[in-house]
Amino acid sequence: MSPRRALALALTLAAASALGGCGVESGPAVDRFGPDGDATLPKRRGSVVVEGCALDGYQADVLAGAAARAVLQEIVLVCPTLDEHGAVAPQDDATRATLGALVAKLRAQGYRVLLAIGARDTDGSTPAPAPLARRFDDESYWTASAQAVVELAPLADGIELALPPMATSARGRLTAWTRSIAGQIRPARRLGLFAPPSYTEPSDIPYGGTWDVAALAPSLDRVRLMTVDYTDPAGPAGPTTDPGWAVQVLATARAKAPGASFDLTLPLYGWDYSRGGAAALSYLDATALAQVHGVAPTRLPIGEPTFSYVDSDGAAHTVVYDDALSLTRALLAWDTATVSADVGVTYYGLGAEDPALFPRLASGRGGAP
Amino acid sequence: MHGEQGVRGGTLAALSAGAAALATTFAVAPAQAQVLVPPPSDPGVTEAPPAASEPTQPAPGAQTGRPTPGLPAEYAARSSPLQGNFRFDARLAWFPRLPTLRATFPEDFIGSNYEGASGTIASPGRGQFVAVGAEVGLSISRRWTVPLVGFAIGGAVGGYPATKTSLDGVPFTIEPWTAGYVYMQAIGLEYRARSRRWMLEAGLRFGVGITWMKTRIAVGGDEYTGSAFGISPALKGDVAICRRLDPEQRLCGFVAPALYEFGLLNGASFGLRWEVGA
Repeated sequence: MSPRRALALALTLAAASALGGCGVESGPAVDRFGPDGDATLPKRRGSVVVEGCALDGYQADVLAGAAARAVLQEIVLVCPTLDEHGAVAPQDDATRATLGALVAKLRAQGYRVLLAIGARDTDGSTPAPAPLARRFDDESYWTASAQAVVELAPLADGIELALPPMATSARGRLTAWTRSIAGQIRPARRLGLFAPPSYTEPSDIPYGGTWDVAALAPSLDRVRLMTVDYTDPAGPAGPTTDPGWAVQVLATARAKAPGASFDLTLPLYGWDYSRGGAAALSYLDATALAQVHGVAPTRLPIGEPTFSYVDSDGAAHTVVYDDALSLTRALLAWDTATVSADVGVTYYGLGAEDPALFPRLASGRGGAP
Repeated sequence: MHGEQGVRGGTLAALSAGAAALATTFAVAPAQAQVLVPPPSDPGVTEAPPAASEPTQPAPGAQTGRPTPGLPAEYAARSSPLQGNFRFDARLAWFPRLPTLRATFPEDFIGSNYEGASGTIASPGRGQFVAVGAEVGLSISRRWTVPLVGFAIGGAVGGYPATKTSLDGVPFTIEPWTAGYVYMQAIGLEYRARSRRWMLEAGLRFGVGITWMKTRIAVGGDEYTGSAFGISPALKGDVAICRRLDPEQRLCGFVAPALYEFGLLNGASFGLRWEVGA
C-alpha cells in the first residue's frame, strides 16, 4: 500500500471514529455532593418542627447534643390548637405550666422557641376547609380567637400560624385577623406563618391562595414555605420533596413579597404508599422495613431512597424517605447563588430523621462527617 | 446511546469516505498542479524538464514574483507569490479542563417556570477528542503562509465518570463521554523553513472552540435528557514537521498547543496532516 493510500485510509478511519464518538462511561461518578464529596454546605438559619407539646427521650437527646445546637436556632412546637369556639388548647393551667417549663428548658439550651397553632375541634377532628373559613366570618369567633392567640404568645418567643387548609373565601378576614395579632404581640414576640408551597400564581395548590402573603409580609417575622409532600400522599409513590421545585416555590413567593424573610422546608420523615393510601414513617422505620423484607433500597433520580415490599396481607407497598445523604444533596443544590443566604431551612418532624443527619450538617461539609 | 453512535458513525463514515476520495483525487493530480509551481530554487524539488523551445534557466525576476516582460505565460503564472494550499488532518485533542457549560432545560420539562430556562453548570473536568479537520490557506511567500478558514470536528474518546451537579436546585448529571467538539478557524499566520525534503512549520491560529454533551435532569421521580455546551475563543499554536512526498504534497506530524481554548494553556492537539499545494 502506498503512503498516500495508507494516509487516506488512516484519515477515513479517524473520521469515522471522530464523528461516531468513542467515549464510554467508566468509574464512579464525580459527586461533590456525595458521601465522599468535598462540597461545603452553605450556612443557613435552621429551625426544626416538633409535632406535639412534649419531647420524647430521643428528641430531647438530639436537641441537647452539640450537633443539633450547631445547626438549629429555633424550635417550633406544633402544640396549641384553635377549636370551634375560638379558644386555644391547652387551656388548663397545669398543661400550660408544663408547656412553659419545656419552653424554658429549651431556651436554656440556647434555642428560640415558637408555638405553632393548628386547628382541631373539641371532638378531636380537624375542621374541613369550608367550615373553618366560615368561622372567621363570625365576628365573635374572629375576636375571641385573635385574643386567645395573643394571650398564648408570652408563653414562648412567638407564635407560628399553622392552620389547616381553609377556603379562599376567608382570605380577607384572615389577613385582617393576622394583622390584628401582629399588632398586639410584635415586636416583643415574633409572628410567623406556615405558608402553602405555591409553585404558580394563582396558586396551583388547593386552598393555596387563602393566605395573602404579599399583604401579610410586613406583619410577619417569618414565612415558612412548606415545601414538603411534593407527592400527594393519596396518589402514586413519589419523592417527599424536590429541591428544584422548592427553588421555584421560593421564586414565586419572593415575587409577591420581596422583603419577607423566608424559610424552605425539608422533610425528616417518609411515606409508605400502598393501595389504601400512604402512612408517614421515620427513617428508622423505613430501614427496619427494608431489612425485614430483605430489600436493598435504591435511589430516585433526585436522591431519595426508595424500595418496595409486599406485606403479610399481600398488599404491595412502596416506601420513599429521606436520609442524611438525600437531604444534604438538597441543601447543597441550594447554593447561595440559587437560594440567597438569608433564606433559612425548617426541618419538619424531629425524631423521624436519619441519626446521621445533624452530625453531617454540623460538619458543614457535603461528605461524610 | 451506543446505538445512536452507531447510526451517527455509519452516516458520517460515508462523508469521511467522500473526503478521502477527494484527497485521493489530489494525490493523482500533481501533474496538473505543477504548472503553478514557482521556478525551482530548492534542489530537493523535482520537475519535468522544460520543452526544447523554452529557456533552460529561470527567468530573471522570477524569485521576486514579478514577471519579466517577454517571458512565456507559464513562467509568469509560476512566478505568482499567492498560491493556495489545502490540509486534511486527523488529530487527538486533549483538554485538561473543559469549560463550565451552559445547560438548558428540555422543552418537555414539567413546570412552566422552567421552559426555556438555562444556566451555567460545573465543568465536567477533562476531555479528549478524536477529530478530523480541514483547512484552506494561502502561501504569500516561500516562508509565510496565511491559514484562512478551517474546521475540526470530533467526538469524545476514552472513559469518563459522570459528574453530578445542580442548576437552580435541580440535580443535573453530566455525561462527558457523549461530548462532541468543533473547532472553527478564522485566520492564522505560519512560518516555514525548508531543508531538502523536510519542512518545519510554526504558526498561530485564531478561532472558536465549541463542545457539547448530554445531561440528565432529575425532577421528582423522573429523569429527563438535556444538553449543555461550552464555547470559547481559541488561540492555538501549531508546530509541524513535514516530509515532502512530491512537490505538491507533504505528510506532517503536528502538535498544536491550546494557548487559550476553554481556558489558558489548556491542553494540545496532536496528529497527522496531509498538505497539498504550495
